[in-house]
Formats: sequence, C-alpha cells, structure tokens
Amino acid sequence: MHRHYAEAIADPDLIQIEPGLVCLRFEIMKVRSALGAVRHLLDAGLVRRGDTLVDSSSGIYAHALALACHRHGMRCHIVGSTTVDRTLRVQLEILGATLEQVRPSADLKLDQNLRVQRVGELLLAHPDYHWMRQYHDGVHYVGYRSVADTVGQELPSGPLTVVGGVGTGASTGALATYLRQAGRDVELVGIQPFGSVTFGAEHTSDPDMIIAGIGSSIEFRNVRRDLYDRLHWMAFTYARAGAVALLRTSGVFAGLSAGAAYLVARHERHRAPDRTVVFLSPDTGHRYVDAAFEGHERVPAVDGLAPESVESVHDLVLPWSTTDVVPGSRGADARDARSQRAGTRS
Amino acid sequence: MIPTRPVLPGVAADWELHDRLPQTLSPDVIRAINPPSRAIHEHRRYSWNGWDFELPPGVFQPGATSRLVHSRLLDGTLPVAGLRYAAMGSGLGVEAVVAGVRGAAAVYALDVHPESVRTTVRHFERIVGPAGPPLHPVVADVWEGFPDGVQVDVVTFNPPAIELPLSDDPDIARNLCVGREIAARFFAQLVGRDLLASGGVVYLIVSNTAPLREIVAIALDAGFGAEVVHVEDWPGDDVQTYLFALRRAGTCPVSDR
Repeated sequence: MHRHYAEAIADPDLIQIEPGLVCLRFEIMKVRSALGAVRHLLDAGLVRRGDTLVDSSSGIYAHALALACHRHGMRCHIVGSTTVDRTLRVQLEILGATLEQVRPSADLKLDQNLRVQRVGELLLAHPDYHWMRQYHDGVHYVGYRSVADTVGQELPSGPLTVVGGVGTGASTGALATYLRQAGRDVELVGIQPFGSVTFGAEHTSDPDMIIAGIGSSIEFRNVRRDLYDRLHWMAFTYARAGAVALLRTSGVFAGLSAGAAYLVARHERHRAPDRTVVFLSPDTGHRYVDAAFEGHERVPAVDGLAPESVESVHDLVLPWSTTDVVPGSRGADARDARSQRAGTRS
Repeated sequence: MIPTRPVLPGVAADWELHDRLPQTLSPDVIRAINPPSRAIHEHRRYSWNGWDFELPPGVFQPGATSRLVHSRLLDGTLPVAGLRYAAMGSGLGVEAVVAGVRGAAAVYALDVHPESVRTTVRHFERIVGPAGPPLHPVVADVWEGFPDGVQVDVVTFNPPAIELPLSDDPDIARNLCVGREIAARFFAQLVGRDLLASGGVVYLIVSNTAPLREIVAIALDAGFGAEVVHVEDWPGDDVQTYLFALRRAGTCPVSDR
C-alpha cells in the first residue's frame, strides 16, 4: 500500500511493445524526480519540514513539486507565467501550493529570466525558502536511482539502449548514470526538438509546434552532454505520428515526447537488433488530444519514417535527423578517439 | 612541469597573451593549495581595511585572490567612480562596499547564495550608508535572474573555476570548484543579453589552479579583448594569479569618453 498518491504514481510501468522494445511508462515522470529531491534535501539537513521550496515552472514540475511537498509536509511556492492552465492551477490551490504568475513574454528566454528574477526577490525576503533549481541542481537525478534499479532488474541481462527526450537532462542522464554504475552496457540516445539550444540547434525551427518539455531556450546544467551517445531531432509531425502509432499498436496513451521516443526506439532497435531498447514515456496523452490525437486518421504510418543521418548539428534537416557527432557528447568523444587512433597508423 | 615566467602587464594581449599563459597546475598541487575546511559552516568574523564583517554560515570568507581585487578597487586601479558596477559573486560584500565608498553610480551585488546577498546588504548599509550609491541586491545564477534591459559599465568576477572535486560539500564546491563552465555561462549571457554597456570592462581574476588558458579563450571567443592588469607570483609555489581587463572588441574604455 502506498502512503501517498505521489508515491503511487511516481514509479513507472515497464510495458513490452514488441520483442526487444520496452516502454517505460510514467503517469507524471517528474513526480519521481521531485520526490527523490525533496527526500534527499530533508535527509541531508538542507531543508527542514515546514520550509518552503520555491522554483519557477509553468507546468509539470510545479505539479510534481507540489505533490512532493504535500507528501513531506513542506510548503511549495511556484513562480509561473500566466500560461499555467486552469487544471493545474486548481490542483495547486487545493494541494496548498501557492502560485505566483509573472506576466508572460513573447521571448522564452526573457520569460524564464523574469521568473528567475522574481524567485531571487523571494529568496532575499524569505530566508526559509529553498530554491530547487530543477534545471541545474543535480539533486533532481537522485529520485531516478530506483527506476534504474527496476529497469536493471526487470529487463533481461545484456546491452541496453535508453531512449528519451532530453529536457532538463535529469531522467535520461540519471538512468544512464545509475545503470552504467551498476555495470550495465548502456547506450544513451537523446531526443531534441528543432530550435533547442541544448545541443546547439538554435538555428533551426519547427514550423508546426515545439514539443514542450524535451528542449530548451536556455542551457540546463543537469544536461551532461558526455552521457549521450547519439542525438535525434524530431519535428512535431513525426512525434505526433509516433504518439498515434504507440496508442494504436499498444494501447499506451502518451504525449508527444513518448511519441518521438517510440519512433526513435524503433529505429535504434532496427539499427542494433542485439540490444534491448527502452524508451521513456513521461506523461499521458490527455494534454495533447486537440494538438496531436484529433485528426489521427490523417497521420502518416510510421513504418516508412526514418531519420536523415547528418555529420553535425549544422546539417540538421526537418522532420527527423540524427547524429552521433555533437560536441561534448559521448558519441563525439568516441569518434574523436577513433580518428586519433587512425591518425597514428598513417 | 617547467615553471612559466609570469606575463607582466603590457607584454602581450589577446591570443598572444593566451599562448603565453601558464598551464594549469597538477591536481596534487591544486589540492595542496586548497585543503578542505569545514569553517564555512561556522559563524565567522573578518576584518579588512579597518572594516569589520560578520560571516553567517555558508558565506565565503575572502582569500588572497579576492583581496587582490578588493585592493585594486580601493586604490583606483579598477576605476568605478561614476560608473555602474556589478560584483559577480558578492559573497560577504567587500567589493560592493568598496565600490560604494569609491563613488560608483550604482552597485549591483549578485550571488547565487541568498544569504550572501543578504549579508552584502547588511554590510553595505552599515559601512557605506545612505549617502552612498543605490545598492541593487540580486539573487542570480551568474546573470540568470539579473534584470533585462539593465546595463553595467564595470564587472568584477573571481570565478570558482577549479576543476577538481575538492569537496562534496555543496557550499565549498559552489565557491571553489564549479569549473570553466561558469565562465562560459558568464560570457554567453553577458553578450547574449547585452548586459555590458558600450566601453564597459570585465575584470576577471583567475589563477593557474583553474583552467586559466581555457577561460581566457572563452572570453576571446565571446568577442572580448584581453590584457593583464596585474599578475601575482606567489612565493613558495608555482601559482600565478592574473587580473585581466576584458573589453569588447571595437569599444573604447568608458574612462576615455
């Protein structure tokens, strides 16, 4: 029996989609991260019960932190933009979290800075507030250790490929880190939307819609580039096709990030059939009904979809590109090492 | 490692200066120079220039490198009079206090550690007082959180750029060993958000206990010119500490206008 709703939804289910292809399906993935972070801060004496945890968020993390605070007897204050939707606002109110909405800006970078500026003002005025910094503080890795343990135990021994949207870097980064620490052969494959700065694709853009949550307009320090072997960039149209196909073939009703991950996971499985591929499904499809699932009959079949393999982020093309040559990534380092070895023979 | 002779002010600039800078010292030497201490978790007192400072737990006590900056601000080597000044990593607030005393037009005190910013405010109010320039305390992660649309003329920055895990203690790591990436963020945000006024200058202090050359390269790649204002060659070891003036290429110093 779970002691709290947050714990009931924090842990994922492993669902076999087809042989060698496994979906790691979360209800709200960031709840696992927020619960682990708050627990760690309490255990380390960095915060005390009753303190206020504060961060800037306009979505899922606000919900996850509010639930984690509710579980652990903490107060929660969120600085969000006015785009926070009614469903979330009502839940935050009832959970006892306070939400402060800062006027939105057309520029995502300015919007983020304005919210961080307001968090700074709050921290100055309230010494008992603790700044969570979900994008930068490695404490957000800690909660995923148990997920890595589950994956390690439940999936057959042998090489693994982990596929997921990069986002803040915590979920994919933590899974790869903890599984590798346990001795597992893990390749980590990250997914980005076009336009994201995280791996240098800010010169590109998606004309339809950016897949919220898996990219960024600012650098996140929780993204540890050297953990990734390969990156994929995917446009909305293909992520949508992936989400529809995932629901159609498996019954998993999940968001665009999962749709993109499903497509990439299929590709990775085809590329290396000896590896078990596990992909992340971070949330349910409810928020995407209008944008993604409505009109599903016009969505292309996924069987014919494949990425363009490119040499660098400068060569990215819509709707789907992949490369293992991203500066600072594990894949790029491996390639550099190969080149150097080749050079010594000449 | 063969000791490199210090590059004195005026000898070289920009990439030529970069190429003459010493390599980073070996990890063993860096660890020996920075022995772990848990003192940051205590309440401490600090005196400098006849001023007394109170340091609550978590607030960093200035070392010899920080005092180089404090002295050069106080003696006018780093001019701030009439200029908008930002202390990046304000700590207990010595730079802010000196800039206030030296007649800066405005003082921005930035630190990622809220208690440090509060401590700076207390010291500024007590030592500089209401006759001084306005103090703008900002809790910010480098420039993230600094208001948009504001520009400054002078910035001082003593980055915690050592790249060794000298301690698991987050307070010690925050103040010593974040690595070169903090310099990368500093310059990327400074340029990307146009926070430095035309003719403005960044005074950056870095030793070869950190990736000195790499950090200067980050500044040069970001479009800054680099020259040495002061170099300290400490007795008894191979540490060299450089105080650089970094200006955007093609701008004239504010003091010349």
